[in-house]
Amino acid sequence: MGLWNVAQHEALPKTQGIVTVRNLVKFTPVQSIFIKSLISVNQYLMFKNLFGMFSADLSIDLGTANTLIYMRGKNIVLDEPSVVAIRQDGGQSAIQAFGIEAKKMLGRTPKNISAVRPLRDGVIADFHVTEKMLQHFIRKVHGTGLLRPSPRVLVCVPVGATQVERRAIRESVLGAGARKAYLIEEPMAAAIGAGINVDEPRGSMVVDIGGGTSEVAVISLDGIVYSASVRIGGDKFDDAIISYVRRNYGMLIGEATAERIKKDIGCAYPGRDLREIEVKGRNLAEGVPRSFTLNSNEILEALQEPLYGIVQAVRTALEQTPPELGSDIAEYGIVLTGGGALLHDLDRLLMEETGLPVIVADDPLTCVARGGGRVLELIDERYSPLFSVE
Amino acid sequence: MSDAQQTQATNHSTGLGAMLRHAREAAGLSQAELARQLNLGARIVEAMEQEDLQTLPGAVYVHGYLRKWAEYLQLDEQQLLQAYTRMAGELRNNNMRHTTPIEPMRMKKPGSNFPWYKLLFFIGIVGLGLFATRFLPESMRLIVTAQETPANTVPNAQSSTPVLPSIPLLPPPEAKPTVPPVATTPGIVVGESLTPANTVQAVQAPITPTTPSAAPSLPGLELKGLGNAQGSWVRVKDADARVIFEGILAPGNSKQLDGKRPFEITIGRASELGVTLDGTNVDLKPYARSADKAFIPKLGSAPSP
Repeated sequence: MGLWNVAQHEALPKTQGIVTVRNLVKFTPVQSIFIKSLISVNQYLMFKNLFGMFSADLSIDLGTANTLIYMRGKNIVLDEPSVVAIRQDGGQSAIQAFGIEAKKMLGRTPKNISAVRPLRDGVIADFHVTEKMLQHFIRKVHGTGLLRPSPRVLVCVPVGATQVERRAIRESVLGAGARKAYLIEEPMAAAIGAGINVDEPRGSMVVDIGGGTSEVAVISLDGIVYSASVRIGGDKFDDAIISYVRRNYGMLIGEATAERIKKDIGCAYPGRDLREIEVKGRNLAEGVPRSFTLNSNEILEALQEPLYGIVQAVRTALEQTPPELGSDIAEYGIVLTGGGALLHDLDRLLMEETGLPVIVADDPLTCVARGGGRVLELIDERYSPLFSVE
Repeated sequence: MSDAQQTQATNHSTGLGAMLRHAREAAGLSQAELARQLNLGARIVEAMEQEDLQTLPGAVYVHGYLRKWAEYLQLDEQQLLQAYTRMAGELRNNNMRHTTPIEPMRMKKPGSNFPWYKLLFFIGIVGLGLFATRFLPESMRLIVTAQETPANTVPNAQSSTPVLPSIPLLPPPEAKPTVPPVATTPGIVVGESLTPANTVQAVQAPITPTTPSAAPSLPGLELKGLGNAQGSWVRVKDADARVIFEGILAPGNSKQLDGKRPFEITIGRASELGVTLDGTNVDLKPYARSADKAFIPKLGSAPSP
């Protein structure tokens, strides 16, 4: 990843969003002693704890597609795409933009800027960039203060995440300035955020369809009875649309366009009305941009494969669920959360495939972050090992 | 919600249940048909129309059901959701509270989980220790006084029991009716050079009476270090198996002891120790063990009458 240089900052015009990451400026010995002592004070006298008194606790849904931050006492305070634009100039890199700004650059960057998504399949793919992104977001939600924010942070991890991946998430959160990092499994947070009474002795099934992964979990009495994670999510839908268009129309479209198509006319079940969208892409044969029209049935066809994967995961979960909990689920239904739940008629598809009632949670995109916030409150109210908070 | 309230709510024209029922009847569907269409249990459809909030699950589920309803029967979704929120406001609060877990069922905070039982245990141990030290000196006084008894001061013949003032457990020998007349002057004097003044019949066979000498003797047990080397380790227990003396007796030193008989004496170096009981020299040879050790299981046992 090259070196970060403070000179970068001076050389470039004052662009918004540029953050110098690490500087290589030479300090005089006196200065370096002063800085080192400050660092050691920070480390050994636990100034973080002191600063923590001025920082509100955060619950972060570090998703593949979007990062959401819920601040305790407030509500969702940040909802931005997990995208970082990095500018490379002569072997030195600086961060050009985060979040929404960076997402606009996806696929539209010159050679020296790369817009990257530091998370893949629900876990960290690029540790440093994730850390910087989190740092930026945490500072953003705390506003400009005299003190560096060092909140307690609860982060959600996919149930399928390995120990290494969990550790990477924890480290990056701590590296981003958190005083303490808690990890919670995503479906649990999603269930709490959706408003399911997870502490009842009643089975509830949550299907959280995120950007990178889909999590299926059966929850009862504050615990996860069964959980599974498939690496299918919004990204896979986009990829499926891209390859469908390429195969059937000989047109090349970008990820952003595919996402727009999915949001506008994407559906998971043949609906009553047929919707259409006009898309522009590059014709592979002619090599020039062309406009063409797609309808919702074509998108449905394109999405068959990833949708089948999710249906299969839900079916497997139902097979593995103990019968008493299964009967509860059959009576009250399956709850869908996550951005994927917004795909048109996905609940209908699952309902037809399983024969059970399927309900889309209110505001499914923010369920995980809100649930995490609730868990943070619960951690303070009582110490408990519940929700498998690590 | 009481029955009266429930009926009132149901009868109210804007009530959620009434709205749902009217819409269903207008569509000409039975509850079972609607349930099939919505892929819900008939129980749930009935509960929704009855506004039976106890049967219905949490708000998230009911919101989902209402959306289905609105979609299928072409109702205003927002209106239904608002009606539910109004109606269930009370219950929703309860639900919120219910989501907050029940305190007493939970683990205590680690801070408040002070180990009181450990503290009590500690206090108990300390108390026991104090209790024991209160009593220990008395029990140890036997040894202390025995040690304090100057071994070199040759006991006077006139004072028969001068060095036994602090043994409460031992009644005065005269008061013992069980003691045979020969043992009316109890106590042993150990030591070869010290010969007892009172010639007393030895109680046990190995005790051979020594000839009376000029040296005054004392009743009771006397230990005397002999030889000229290291001295001998010796331990004396009384009839209650209490150690009344334990230590190394240097050559030339002697120890005057008494206690409840019979004594049990363990000797580390028999050749360098003289034992005298009531002025009678005790022959250690029958008690000898390997490597110059000796063990006298019973010495001076008074024959029972």
